[in-house]
Amino acid sequence: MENWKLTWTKLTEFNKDSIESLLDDLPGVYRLSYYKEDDKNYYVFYIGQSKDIKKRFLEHLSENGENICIKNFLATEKCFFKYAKITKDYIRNAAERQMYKHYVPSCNSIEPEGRDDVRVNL
Amino acid sequence: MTLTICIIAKDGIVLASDSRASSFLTSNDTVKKIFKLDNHNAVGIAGDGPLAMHFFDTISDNLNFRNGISTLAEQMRSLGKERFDNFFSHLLPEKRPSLSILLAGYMLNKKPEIYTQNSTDNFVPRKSPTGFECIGIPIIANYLLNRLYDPEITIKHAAELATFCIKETSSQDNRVGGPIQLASLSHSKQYAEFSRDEINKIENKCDQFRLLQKGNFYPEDMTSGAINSQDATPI
Repeated sequence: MENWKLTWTKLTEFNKDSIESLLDDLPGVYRLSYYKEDDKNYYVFYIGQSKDIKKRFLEHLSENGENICIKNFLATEKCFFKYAKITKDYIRNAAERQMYKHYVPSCNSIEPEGRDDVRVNL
Repeated sequence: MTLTICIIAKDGIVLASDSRASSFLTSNDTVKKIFKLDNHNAVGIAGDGPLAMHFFDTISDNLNFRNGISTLAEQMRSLGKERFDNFFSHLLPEKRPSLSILLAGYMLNKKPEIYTQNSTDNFVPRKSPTGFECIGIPIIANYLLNRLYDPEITIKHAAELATFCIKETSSQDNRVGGPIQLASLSHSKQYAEFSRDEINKIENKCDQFRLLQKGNFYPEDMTSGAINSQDATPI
């Protein structure tokens, strides 16, 4: 079993300004969540990974975003993100899979491939 | 072991099953558990598969399909009891192999019905009050069907719901598994089995269904986190 420590960022509002402030070519995994007014909690609706998180976030935000479920959340809820930088591909894959199993997010349709013997802090 | 499901839809009846036969040490994923009786009546089985196949081979010529499913259930009771008493006269009732049957078809007034019958209970017919029935390992499927079934469901979606129930059970109980079998019939359409390609498409769709919104129980911690992220480090 391999264990890796991730540095997660604070929950940040998902909007053009906050995304534009991210570094280019930043590889890592991320979670998108929405704020539920009723109980004042933040619930994860999507997890993902990218070799360029900023570029991927802008894709989610664009009119041409392919995931309708994400678009619906972004259009109707106050949404947030947090991410962790991971340069190694297999750690990213494993972290994405671990997050998927932990949250079973409503906007992820396919269980990601990845090693189960690599663990990260979520 | 087995999971066989029958669902009454608004436009017909769906039967579904896994294909696993398991014993203490081995399992086989090629067992057929859904059978056509005639164009508008079908059975699903759970229990001793080879015995069930022989049983139906020997009684099928004696079945009369013209008087509706309730009469058919009564014929099945009579013939079942007779055959089992004949096959297993050397065994006490509690020592005999068990065979459960889902009988699906139509009344003379064109109303669809499902009956369950069990060899351990002398094949006494029990008419389904719910619109669905499960035999074999039914607990998870019954739970899901109680939550998700509505008589307004169509054959197409009943096939998906039955497949979902089998896949969920299979994920929790390895006595259920192997390729899924699906068939449908209605008063106006003859019994037909789904092709492997059709079943694969349904299974792929079911893989995307979400039974549990697990994230609802694990909200994000608003207070933790860094301004910037450092690369992952091994521990």
